Amino acid sequence: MSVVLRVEGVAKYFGGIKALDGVTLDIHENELLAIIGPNGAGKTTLFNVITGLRKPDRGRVLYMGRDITRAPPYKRAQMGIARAFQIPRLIYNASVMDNAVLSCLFGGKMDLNNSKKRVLEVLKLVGLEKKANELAANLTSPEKKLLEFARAVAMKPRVLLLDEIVAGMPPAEVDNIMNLVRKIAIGEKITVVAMVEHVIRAVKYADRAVFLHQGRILVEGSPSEVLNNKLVKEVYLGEIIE
Amino acid sequence: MRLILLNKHLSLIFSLLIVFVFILLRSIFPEYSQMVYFIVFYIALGLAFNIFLGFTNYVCFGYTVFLALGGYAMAHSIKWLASSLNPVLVFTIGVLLSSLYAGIVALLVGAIGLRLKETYFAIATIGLTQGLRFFIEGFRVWGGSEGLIVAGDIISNYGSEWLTTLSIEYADILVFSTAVLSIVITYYLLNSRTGYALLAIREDEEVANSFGINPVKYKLLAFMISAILGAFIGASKLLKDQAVFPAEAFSLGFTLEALVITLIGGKGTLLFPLIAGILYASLKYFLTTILPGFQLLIFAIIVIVIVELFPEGIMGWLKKKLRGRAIESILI
Ligand SMILES: Nc1ncnc2c1ncn2[C@@H]1O[C@H](COP(=O)(O)OP(=O)(O)OP(=O)(O)O)[C@@H](O)[C@H]1O
Ligand SMILES: [Mg+2]
Repeated sequence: MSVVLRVEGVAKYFGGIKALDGVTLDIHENELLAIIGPNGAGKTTLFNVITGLRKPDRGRVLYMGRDITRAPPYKRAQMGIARAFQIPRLIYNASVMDNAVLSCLFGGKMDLNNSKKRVLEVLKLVGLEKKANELAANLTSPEKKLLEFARAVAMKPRVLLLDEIVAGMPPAEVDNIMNLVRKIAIGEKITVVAMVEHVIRAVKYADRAVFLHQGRILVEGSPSEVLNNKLVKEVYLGEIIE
Repeated sequence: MRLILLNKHLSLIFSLLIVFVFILLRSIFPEYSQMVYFIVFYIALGLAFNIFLGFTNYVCFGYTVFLALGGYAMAHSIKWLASSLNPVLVFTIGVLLSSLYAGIVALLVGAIGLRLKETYFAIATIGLTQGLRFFIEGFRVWGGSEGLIVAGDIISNYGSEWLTTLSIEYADILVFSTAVLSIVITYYLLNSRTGYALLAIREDEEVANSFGINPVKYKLLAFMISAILGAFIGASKLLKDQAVFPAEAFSLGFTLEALVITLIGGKGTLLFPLIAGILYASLKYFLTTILPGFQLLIFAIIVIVIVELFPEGIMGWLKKKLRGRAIESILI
């Protein structure tokens, strides 16, 4: 399996806080990778470094063999890296449709007609097609989350970074969403990276999981290996399982 | 969505209609040409200014500079070329030169300044006015602090009837064309790919950037368009006055007036700023002829009332607090 994205010795400090402290990670084609870890582990910061919103203090980001550490975010998006934000950041006074059309037009470099077609497809997939003409501001919280997801998927990315995709969702929805993520990961032949809050429920959909803690990857393996790891249980899952 | 779209088309038709009514009015009643010019001048100013402010949320306090540059460009064209070329060519070259002057300055200022946040950009552009004035007053070609007076050049090369033609016909044609151009460009921006990009950048620059939009590129585009349209207005004013003086050209005057129009009309839309331009111009015209000297006082009161009623208004421009609401995109 070929490596699509490689993070190499990346460190990012905020003052004295080591948000990332030497992270090295390969992400392969057609792989659904789960990054798990407690609050403040550095997951969002890792995504920010991959998408270019933050420059790392050390290390490199390689995309299809190319060093993109210095490339601005919009170039990375045009190269096929898409991202759904942890807390939805939509264009609230634009329609649901327009929110997603935007990513097709620019990130996906499609024309307006194809963008609209593509967005309708994706909105159907996540069940938002009836709200296509609604203002994004009028959506419920889970719907906003779904639109955030749809916007990233719509541009047909090669790398899809989903930050806390099931956080705040009702437990019953977790399986639906993870099935969807799985389907997209396989169907569209793109690399998907997800990180999860409903960890135990969601992580089994991944091909591989890594455990991030205090800016370092401490455990890596199949989802069940990572879930059953002693350290993971101690510092992270202990309180969840009780 | 359909409603919004319909509104957008309607607003284009209405806006063009309004300007054509003024053109018609002027050709039927030439005695009103002064007043019509005055009103269309402020329509154009409000719309041109709004193309930058409304679509990006950035305020350029140095906007007057672009009007000044348009004036100087037209003056240069007359001073340098009137002896060898006919007036139509000199006018045309003056218009081209004004877009060149304003385009270059906007490009230089924007390429650096538009990487800053809105508030810092606003502050930096106040410096621009002073800096450019200093530069112009120091150089002979710009006429130093005495400015450039072109009436003599026009009379000696073309005769005095051309003085009237340029100041009444050509100045009016230029300001009318600028108003129409501003309307068409605003409409285009509201409905195009570029418009999508600007909307996204205005609402959340990091998100826009994350989805493939180069923020500086699009902000720069809006800035340059707005600057060049401003220069056309300034070039027209030069033909009206046949002179440009740095003290007046580099005052904050037109920037503040444009801000008041935007304050009345709202940003990023077409019909509202246009109507605001008409309201502002009519009121100013009325006040300067009926109550000369009082217009400033009355405008101060109007601004205070508006700010009182919409306290988030002015601060919003500076702080991006006033993010567009649902109503804003419907009331195009
Ligand atoms: N802009 C910032 N300024 C200062 N500290 C920051 C900043 N962004 C993140 N941090 C800190 O870096 C660390 C990693 O944060 P990050 O958001 O990447 O974690 P996370 O794994 O995404 O956590 P969460 O589960 O809360 O989303 C935290 O200690 C956080 O407080
Ligand atoms: Mg996070």
